[in-house]
Amino acid sequence: MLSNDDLKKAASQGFGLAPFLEAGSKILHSSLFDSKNIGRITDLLIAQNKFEGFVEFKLRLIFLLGVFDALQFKDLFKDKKIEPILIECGCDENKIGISIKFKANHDFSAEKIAKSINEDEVIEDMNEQLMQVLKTAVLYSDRNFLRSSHKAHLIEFTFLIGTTELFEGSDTGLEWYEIKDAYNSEENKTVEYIELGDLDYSHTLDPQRFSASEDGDNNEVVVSKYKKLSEEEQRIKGDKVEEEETVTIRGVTDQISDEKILVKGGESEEESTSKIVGFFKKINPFNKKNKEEDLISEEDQTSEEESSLDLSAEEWSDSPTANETEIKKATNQFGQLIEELDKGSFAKAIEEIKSSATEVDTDNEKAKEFSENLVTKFVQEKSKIVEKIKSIEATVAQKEIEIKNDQIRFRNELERMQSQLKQKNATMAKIKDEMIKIREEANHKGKDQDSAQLKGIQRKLQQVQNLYKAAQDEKRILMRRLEESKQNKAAVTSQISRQSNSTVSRTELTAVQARLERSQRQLDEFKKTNKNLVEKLSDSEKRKIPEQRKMVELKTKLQEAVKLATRHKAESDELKEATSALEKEKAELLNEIKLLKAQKAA
Amino acid sequence: MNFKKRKLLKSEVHLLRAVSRASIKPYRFLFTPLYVFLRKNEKYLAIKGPLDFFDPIELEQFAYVDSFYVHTFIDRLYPFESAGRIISKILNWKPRIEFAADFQVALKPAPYEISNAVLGYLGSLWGSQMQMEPFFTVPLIESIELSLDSDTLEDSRNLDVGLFEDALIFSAWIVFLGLMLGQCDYHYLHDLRKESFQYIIEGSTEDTSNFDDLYQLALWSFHISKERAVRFSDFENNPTLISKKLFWRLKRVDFEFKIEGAEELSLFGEKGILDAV
Repeated sequence: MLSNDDLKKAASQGFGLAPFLEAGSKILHSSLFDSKNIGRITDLLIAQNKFEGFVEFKLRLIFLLGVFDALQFKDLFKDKKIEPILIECGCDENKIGISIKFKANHDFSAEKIAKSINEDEVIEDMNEQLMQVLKTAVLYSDRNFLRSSHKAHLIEFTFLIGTTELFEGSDTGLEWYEIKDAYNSEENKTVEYIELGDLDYSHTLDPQRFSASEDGDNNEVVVSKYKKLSEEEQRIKGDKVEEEETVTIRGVTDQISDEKILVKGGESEEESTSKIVGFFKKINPFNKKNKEEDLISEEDQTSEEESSLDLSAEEWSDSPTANETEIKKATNQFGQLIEELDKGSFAKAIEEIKSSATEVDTDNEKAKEFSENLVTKFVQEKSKIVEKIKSIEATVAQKEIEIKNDQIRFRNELERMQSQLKQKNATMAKIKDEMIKIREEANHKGKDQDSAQLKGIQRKLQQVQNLYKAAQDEKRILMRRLEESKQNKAAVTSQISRQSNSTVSRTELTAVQARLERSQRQLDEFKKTNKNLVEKLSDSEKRKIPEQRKMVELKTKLQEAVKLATRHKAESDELKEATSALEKEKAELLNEIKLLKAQKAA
Repeated sequence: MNFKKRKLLKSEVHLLRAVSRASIKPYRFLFTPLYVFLRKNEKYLAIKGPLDFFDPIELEQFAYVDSFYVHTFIDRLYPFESAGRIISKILNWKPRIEFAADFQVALKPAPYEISNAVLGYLGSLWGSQMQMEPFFTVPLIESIELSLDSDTLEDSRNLDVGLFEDALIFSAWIVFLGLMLGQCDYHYLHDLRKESFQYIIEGSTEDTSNFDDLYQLALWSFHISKERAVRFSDFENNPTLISKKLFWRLKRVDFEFKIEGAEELSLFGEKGILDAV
């Protein structure tokens, strides 16, 4: 047992709850990041350690207050930097301990805090509410330690609650220790650390289990699934018999460290044997024969049961073709077997033996001897069963692993196939994209080509327009000259016709006039076409009609325009020729007039 | 990293797995060497090593490449990535609150429930020999989406590639240890990853005796991993409190989650990708 001095020494060693507890204790620990689920954690701690009454209440209160203080110190309520609050809870024969360790987010003086709690002083910089909470926690616990590392900004509150008279009369307040090497403290004591997640918490917090434990029958300590068999105790007790016989088996299996069977009383050989055999039948799920065969003799039957059990188990464990269904089936059977053992079918059978054993004369040496033999056999059988269970468990585990490996392999294969499929899809998509891109590029090129062609056409159009303008100007001049010529001609003609018989052919003049009129019409037509062309060109640009169609139209129109321009040029040439002919004619006519005048004068 | 086989012959294609260019994302780590096929030489040439990444410009430069090739070692990382994805869901799970007639409110899972669930997935990664090479925690932590930002990655890679790789592995390893110890808060782990990465990059010479015990444990085990895989038994030999806690958790892993006969994973050896130390 740790003395007062030991506790002081332990406190100064370093952080953690272990120094305060006896060697071999179990310490439950967890990390908290917020104020949620504190109640559930407390429930689990209490259920796990089976704390009751005032101790339970104190533990709940201290835990809540301690965590509240830690959260305030860390400013977690203000959403500051998140770091875990480490909680530890453990107990030994004399005390229960809770440790709450955290990193403070601001400067603090642990010495001042301790002084304030012990001497009821008010610290200026310290949150008063925080101090009040801490005081309450200190009030409800028997020994309190505040350990801190100013350099590492670490604080640890440790609250101890005495379950015996250990702390009676000791009111030491809050004891403060500065830990120099915050992280290098070595842990020499052999304690077991269990993270709360490693507990079988769903089972521990099961209300039905609590009700069962109230009866005092369930002595199972639930630590973890793999520890279920580590501390197993079976009691066989007759109500009316005073003497108690104990059989202790050590090292039967790896998991059963210490098994006790307490036997009181007994029953008639026949009844006991039949019950034991019945029990074996019940717990041996592999032997179908048992259901059909009757008991022949006690010894024969027992040996038969043993052999059949061995055979079944061997058959099962050695079966190379056991598939998943078989494993499930076996797992179910195994589960039922375990359940039956858990539920107490075993104990029930023993109870029945026990109750009937009261009728047997306990002084009878034979009965005693038989009882001893029976118990020894029974224990041997039980250890065999446990062995078989282990081997079945190992086989099931092996098969599970194989299945798991197969699953992983299939999953990998599936993933690989999926990735290949994805790859193919991606390639397809890529090809599609490329097709679209090629198409777009082709369109784009076409557009470029079109735009180049358009530019060429526009240039040509401009040239045509210039030509047209020049032709128009020329035509206008020519027309004016023609008009003048016409007028002159008309005047001359009238003069000639009046003065003498004219030699100029009328038919020729009519022909020239007709030609002129025709060229005039053509010019009008050309103008109209050109106007339409220009309008359509501008319209096409505005409306954004498909480039290709526009191009075709423009090309056609350009061709027409070129044709017209060529034709117009030819006509202009013709007109020029005609005009020059007319002028020649005019000159000739004028010469003729002069000659006529000269002749007249002569 | 000094990985082996920087060039592979065309006939060694069985060592490779094709990945489309579209599947390679910028700032995503490559956990094996990445090859391209040189048609004229008929060889596969490694253009990136393990723990390297592409930035967008680099990736653009390979726009003409249809497919890259990775080492089949990538298949062996599948359990880590898979576990990481599930753990990510566990850490980020938020209860759905239903305002039904009977007012049902779903409670957030308790820390011990999360811790138990996470250990179930991490435990199976320890291998049949109960040992681990910290490199493998990188794909795990990346799958949990505790990633580092792109600027930090680029700057630190440009600074010193060796240091960058160390920082990357150490930051993943410390987060892994935190998860193993039941410190299952996403935001805390994210901060832890960033801080631990910076700690290595800055080459901090700070006296570790004043540093967080998780850092100390991670540094100590990381130092071991430079020579060999970190073993379960190593934590038993370390006398600190945090190491004892981890040892007891690993004891449960050994009993409950260890897959007997499962193939040991290593970066080295015949099936590995690195040259022996």
